[in-house]
Amino acid sequence: MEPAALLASTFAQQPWFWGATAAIVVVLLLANVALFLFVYARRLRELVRARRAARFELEAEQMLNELTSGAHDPERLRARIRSLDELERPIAATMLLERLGPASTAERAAVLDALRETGAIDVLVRSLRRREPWRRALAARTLGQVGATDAVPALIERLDDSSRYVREAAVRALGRIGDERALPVLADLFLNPGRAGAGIVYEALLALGDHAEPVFREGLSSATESVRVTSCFGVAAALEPEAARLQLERMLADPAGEVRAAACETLARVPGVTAPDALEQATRDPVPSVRRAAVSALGSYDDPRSLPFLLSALDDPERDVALRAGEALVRLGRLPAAGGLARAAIEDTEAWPLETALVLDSLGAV
Amino acid sequence: MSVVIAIVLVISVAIFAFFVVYSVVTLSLTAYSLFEGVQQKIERGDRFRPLRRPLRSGISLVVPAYNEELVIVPAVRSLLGVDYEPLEVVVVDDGSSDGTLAVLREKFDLRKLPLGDRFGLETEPLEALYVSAADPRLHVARKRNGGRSDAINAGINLARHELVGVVDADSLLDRDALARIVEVFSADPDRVVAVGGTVRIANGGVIEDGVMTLPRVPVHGIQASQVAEYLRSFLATRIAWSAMNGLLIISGAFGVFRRDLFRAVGGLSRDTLGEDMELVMRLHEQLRPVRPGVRIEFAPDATCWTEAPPGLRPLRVQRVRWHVGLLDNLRLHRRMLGRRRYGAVGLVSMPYTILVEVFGPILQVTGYVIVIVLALFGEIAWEYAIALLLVVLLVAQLQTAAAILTEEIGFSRYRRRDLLLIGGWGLLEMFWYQPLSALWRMWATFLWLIGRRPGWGTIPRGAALAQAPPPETPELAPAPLSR
Repeated sequence: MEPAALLASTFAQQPWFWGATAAIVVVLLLANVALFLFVYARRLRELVRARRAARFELEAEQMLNELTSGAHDPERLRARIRSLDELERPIAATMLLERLGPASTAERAAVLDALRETGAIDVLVRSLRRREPWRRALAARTLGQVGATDAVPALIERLDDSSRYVREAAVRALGRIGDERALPVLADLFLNPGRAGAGIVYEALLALGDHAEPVFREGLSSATESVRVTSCFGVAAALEPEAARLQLERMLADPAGEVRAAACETLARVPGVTAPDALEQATRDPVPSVRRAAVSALGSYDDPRSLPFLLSALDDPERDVALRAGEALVRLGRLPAAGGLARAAIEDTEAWPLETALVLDSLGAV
Repeated sequence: MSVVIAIVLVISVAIFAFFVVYSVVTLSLTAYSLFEGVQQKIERGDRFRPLRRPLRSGISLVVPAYNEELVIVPAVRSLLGVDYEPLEVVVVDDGSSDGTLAVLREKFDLRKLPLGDRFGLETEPLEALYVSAADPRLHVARKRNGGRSDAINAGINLARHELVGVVDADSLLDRDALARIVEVFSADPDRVVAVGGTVRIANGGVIEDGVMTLPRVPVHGIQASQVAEYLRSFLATRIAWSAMNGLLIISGAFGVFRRDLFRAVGGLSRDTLGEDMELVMRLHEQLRPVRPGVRIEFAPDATCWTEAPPGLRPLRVQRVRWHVGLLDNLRLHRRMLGRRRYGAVGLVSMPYTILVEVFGPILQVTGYVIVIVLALFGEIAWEYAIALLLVVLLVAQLQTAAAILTEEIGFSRYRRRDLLLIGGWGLLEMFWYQPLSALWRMWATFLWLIGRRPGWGTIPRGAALAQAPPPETPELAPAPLSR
């Protein structure tokens, strides 16, 4: 039998083969055409929307002017806000966000009152339940930006949203509003990470000021390493320097290297007159990142007792630790109490990390 | 004769079976990527806002440079202009024989630093170290030539931030690329150890101030086909691999790693040609058994623009090298194959890569040979051949179309006419680019089997980044990157 005939008898002469092939070709062809049509239809839609958006922006500008100046007719605006369609709402919200970016607290409060009066806050709160996650997230952002305290319960509800982005937008909004009612839920998100970015929750808690203090303290004893790390930063930012130092010194005994490194780094943000003993000991930690953070932190304490530790760190087996020790010595040389001794030590010591630090210092990079 | 016929039949059936499996798996991955891409867009909208310090990690960008005199200055300027702090750029001149160091010295006012010692990863010796007086975030090292991996390892030794990014000297980053990539680290700091960005082709585009402002599909077919190829590779499948934590590669042109882990696993291998892929596979192999949740991610919205090989010869050199590297890496890390402890890497990505990347080209070339021989002898079953070709063509085009749709929904970077061009080149490549690529990969397989190592070759730089300012009417003017 000829090869061609053989091949043909294998597949090509089977009726089912041609039926199946035709079906596959038609499906693939339709799928291809559909995808390309979708791409171009989307482009076309965007073009039309862009034109409509440009027209609406002029009107929205006028509305926002009226709102912010206080010279508005509440009833007329209420009616218009209620009639905003799917395209107009996000444009209005985004323009409001942009306008409120540089606004003062008083201006923000005035806009909030106007928005309440015209029913816009109610519209935004309802938008928190829209089907598209980005619309829910935009509504949350807008409510946060205007500081809508009356939206706090609705925003708290959004912390259980199925979309991570909506949850994070709600977290940011709650942080911006700074209402105490959000504290328990934000604390829960912070201490049990995974549902929203740790950094976002941290920022929101920080915005709550003193109220967040106990949360960061509790976070220091969390079983999760990253929570303890973030809590070190939180403690340094939220507590009084003296209290923060005490807490952070305790963390220098943490079993996790990353936590000890965070404790060292944050101790540099709350420097006192004398460098904590534990921080000096941390310059001999087995983990390089801890030593690195410890020597950097010592450069922030105006304490001559740090000198021997920093000089010894110039010989650290880790290059970056040695470099940071050189930079810390240069910084110490600028401080009033330890400066004289540090400068003398710099002159007496020949070490490449110090030379490097001096060159960088001459360029303003230390 | 009957034996020959039987062999031809078996091979034909094997090719057919391969194609069916390939189509089903690849289209599933494409659909998954499209779904994920659309989901991300629907969810995120324009929500992106980078984190403030102090929780944001610093990044050291390591730029290996070998004879990059023409592109190094604009590339460094572009990197220093990225919206990210704290940032450090470490350029490692790997013993260039041109004026790479001289132009850097001149344009950035370099001041000498002591070399020092205590370098972690073993590399060829450093000869000089500099810091820029114009921008002290820039450090430049000059070392004895040791190859790309060696230069990157030397840069990692000098890097001082917690995260290290590797960016090629012929690449540009979008201004927000680093912030977007760090967002992925920040979202899951306990588990994410490395993140790769999207690499797109810069050829043909308009660059202003070190930023790609108007990407365009180049006129040259080789380059245009690579635009379609990169788009498919990154947007049609990589999103899916990342979602299932099965990424085998972070492109060498743009990836960010945790510095401690990069060094802990020994840095980039100097013994393989596919060092970027090898590092990612080594991270999986060494970390997953001890840290089961560890993740290597892909950030589709963090974009790097790179210069594609401009002609057939440099492209062949690049592809042969990539393929030998791929085969090396699959052999080196074969221990992960089929093992549950390595998750999707062992159970899905490696089997798929072996099937599609290793056996695919062999079956593809064999298929071409059979068709040609049968045609010569007048023995071909034309109906069957045409039907198969049509299906192959439509499957490939569906993948391109899905990548274009993902691009359109997620990023909308290209003009309408460029999308059409990408689709067109995607369709045409089946007749010339794909067979060439299969031939090169088969040749690479042969070289690998006989133990011959292809060289790095020299990919001509078209001074892409060093071009004059953009024309006033970019739609009509000649493309600055085109050659």
